[in-house]
Amino acid sequence: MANQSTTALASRKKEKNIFRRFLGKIGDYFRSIGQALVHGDVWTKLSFLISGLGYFVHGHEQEFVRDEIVRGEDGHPDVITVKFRRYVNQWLRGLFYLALEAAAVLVLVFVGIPNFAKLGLNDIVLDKDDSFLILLQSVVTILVLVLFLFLHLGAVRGVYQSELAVKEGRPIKSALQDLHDLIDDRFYVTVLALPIIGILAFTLIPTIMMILIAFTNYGASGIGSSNFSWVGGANWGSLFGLGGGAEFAEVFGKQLLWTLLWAFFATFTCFFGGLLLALLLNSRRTRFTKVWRTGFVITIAVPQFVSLMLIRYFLGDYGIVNNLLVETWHVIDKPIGFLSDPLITKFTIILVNCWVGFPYLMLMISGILLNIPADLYESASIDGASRPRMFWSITMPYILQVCTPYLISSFVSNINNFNVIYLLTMDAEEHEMAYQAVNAKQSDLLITWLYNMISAGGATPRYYMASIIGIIMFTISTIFTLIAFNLSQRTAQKGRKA
Amino acid sequence: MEIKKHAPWRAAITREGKTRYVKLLGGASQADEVVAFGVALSVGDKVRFVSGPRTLGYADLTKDECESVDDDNEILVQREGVYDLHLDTSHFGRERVSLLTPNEHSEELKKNQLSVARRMAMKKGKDITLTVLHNLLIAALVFFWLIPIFWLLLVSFTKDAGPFTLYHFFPEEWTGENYIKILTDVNEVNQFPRWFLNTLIVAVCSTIVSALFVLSTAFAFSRFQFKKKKGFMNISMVIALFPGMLTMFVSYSLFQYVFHIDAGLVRLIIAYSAGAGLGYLVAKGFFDTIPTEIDEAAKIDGASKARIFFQILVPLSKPIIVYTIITAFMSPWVDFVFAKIILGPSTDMIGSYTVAIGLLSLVADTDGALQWFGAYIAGSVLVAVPLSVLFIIFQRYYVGGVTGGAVKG
Repeated sequence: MANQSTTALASRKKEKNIFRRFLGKIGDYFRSIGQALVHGDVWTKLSFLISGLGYFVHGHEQEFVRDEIVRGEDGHPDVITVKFRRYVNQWLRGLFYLALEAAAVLVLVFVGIPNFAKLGLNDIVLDKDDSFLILLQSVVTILVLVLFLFLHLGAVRGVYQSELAVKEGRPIKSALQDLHDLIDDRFYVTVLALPIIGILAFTLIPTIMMILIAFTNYGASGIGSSNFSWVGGANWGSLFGLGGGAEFAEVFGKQLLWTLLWAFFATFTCFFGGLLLALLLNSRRTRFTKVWRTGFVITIAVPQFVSLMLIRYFLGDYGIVNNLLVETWHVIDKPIGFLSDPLITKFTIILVNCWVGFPYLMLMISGILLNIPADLYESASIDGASRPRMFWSITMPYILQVCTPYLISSFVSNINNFNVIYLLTMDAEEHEMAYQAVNAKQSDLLITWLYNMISAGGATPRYYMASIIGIIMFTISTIFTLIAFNLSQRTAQKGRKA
Repeated sequence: MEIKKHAPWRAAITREGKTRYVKLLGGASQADEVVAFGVALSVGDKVRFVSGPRTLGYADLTKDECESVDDDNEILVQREGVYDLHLDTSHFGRERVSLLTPNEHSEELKKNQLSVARRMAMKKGKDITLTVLHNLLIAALVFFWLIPIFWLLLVSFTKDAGPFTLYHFFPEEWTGENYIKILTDVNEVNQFPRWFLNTLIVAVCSTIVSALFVLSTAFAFSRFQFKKKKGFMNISMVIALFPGMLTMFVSYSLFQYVFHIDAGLVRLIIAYSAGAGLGYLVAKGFFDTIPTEIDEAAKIDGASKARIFFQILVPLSKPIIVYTIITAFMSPWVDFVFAKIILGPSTDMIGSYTVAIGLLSLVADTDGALQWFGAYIAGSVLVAVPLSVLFIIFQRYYVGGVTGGAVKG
């Protein structure tokens, strides 16, 4: 049996197709569980029903060693090794899985079943009660069950292993050793438990919920906000202009384009601006570098809800800039709509973002500049390279290589950049009907639009559309992040080879 | 004498007082060959082998060990089996190859840098005007960048400041009233002192939990090999990309209807720290740079993984711990979206507001803006000043963190 599985493993490693390798792994997993069911004793088989039962039953006497201090005949203390035998079984593991099963059953009975009954997959309507709550509790129950099943099947394999060990007289781990493992060889279980529970409860469950909501009409007008029904792919249709969602399709296309444009310009203006600032500050001519740097750092340190709100008042139609231009200096007749004219707003936003982003990139690129190996410059100067030549042949390639993954991930974070646009345009008015109809402004990114949708006070918050936008942003972000990740992996490999 | 595997080394040849670094392939450990690029080795050269601060020994290159390879001054030094080295330092030729430890190497580099810097300093005297202009340009840029910050301070001292009545940069009448108002005029709308305390409590508690989560997740992923580790890492990278706004919205329902947690501060602490494990990447990168040999040595001495973590890795990880702590500590102070969603739309929660949503709630509508604008600005200054001071003190660690593996030292 063991031989077979190792050859299977070896051939699996050779398999290049990732998908087939994955299927193969799943096959191995279920085969090992099937073995437990077919070849295991009655207790192992019963462990399918009562999780961890076999751990209580399978046990045998094992030999242990212990160091003891004894006094020899001449009175001197002496250390001798004492062998002794003791009965060992794995009751602690059994207890753990038993408790787990009890908890899963309780959740299923008290949280799951009452809600599954109302979930109404067949008759489409979720329920007259709070549909959101029904969906949420169902998701929680299913996740708990999936987790339990996963651990439970692992336990079945473990029980079978302990049965084999007892039969063949191999040692098994006592409860004490299991406990000690938790701070030693399996310490990762201890340290990962809480963080993973936190992520499951407050990141994974919410994510699943929001993805499901994209297939309901939660928040559609005419239906009370607390009960809704499944609508299948209808929402996705309206995204592409099908079924009477023309405004939505139109606004979505434009906002997606603007979001991508914004992310592109925000990323590159800040990169090159930050690079210029960093070069200026790190130049050999610069005095008081620390003072200047601290000046720029203050702009990062002041919270954006303070600094950007102020800039909003600064640039408003009746803000100080327009006041000075119109009334004090009489340069222009009418105030410029820095933040009220849709087109000018977009330029203003990108410029203000430079104010936010340059110092940040300056800090980062300064760090990279200091890290360029000095011997590169030294050998270049021995070879007689000029300063500009050194910049273009050493500094720039180095910075670009280090920064490329960062640039992509900063593109992603700019797609999700909420603060700048929200704080600058929170009180701007939208005059286009198409935009008004879907709670959007022309200057909105997808993320701020999404926020406007779910926090629209008096109007109906369209959660179903917000979740669709969320899923699309998620998809875009994932694609770019994977590209960045691959790039940085490749750079790391190159670095290792060099 | 047997030479064991040791730290990565570089080699240098010193010729007529000038040191050139050369690259050597093959290690002294298993080496049956050592190749030197860019420099000619010749018969009679001394090779010094070093491990840590200890010189292991010297080897003379004899005729049959040196073999010319090509015209690029590459020479193959061949040796079979384990080195048998003479501990003979008596005669050193003018040309020698020595294997330097990384420390020695960086000291040599520093010396060279210093001399370059000195040469530059001599040039500098010639173009003082350019230097002055250069610094003036930077000063102007810094000034431009700080205008909004100056203005923030000025408005906070302006009497009767309103959002739509600011015609002048400098206040016409100076006053401290705005500060007095935000701190003492406490009522059902303004509870600034309480908000400040709330934020402090939330920041401290969520920082402790977040730091623990981040460090332990990073430790597990950096120091253990276990099944599904790769799966966990990939999933965590992807789910972190789902817009937080939407997940926060569901978290609100979880608090409100499933867990029935009504205390706003507890909600905020959980919301800020529950997902912290996802931010392990920077810390893992840092742990990865700490050599595993340290762990192995401790393990041989009988230390458990838990002890290795708490007594060896954590004390070595000060920079990354400081980075984790400042980023976690800052976020409750600057966040004005998640907190609002988590506390829900009801204004009953006003006693649990953090400074950001509290201050913004003061000027949320036009009436409020007219009445509270000056006080809002004063409150913002009271938040911004301590945060800026903290940030400036710890900016070194911050830069180290955001640039991740790119910056060392």
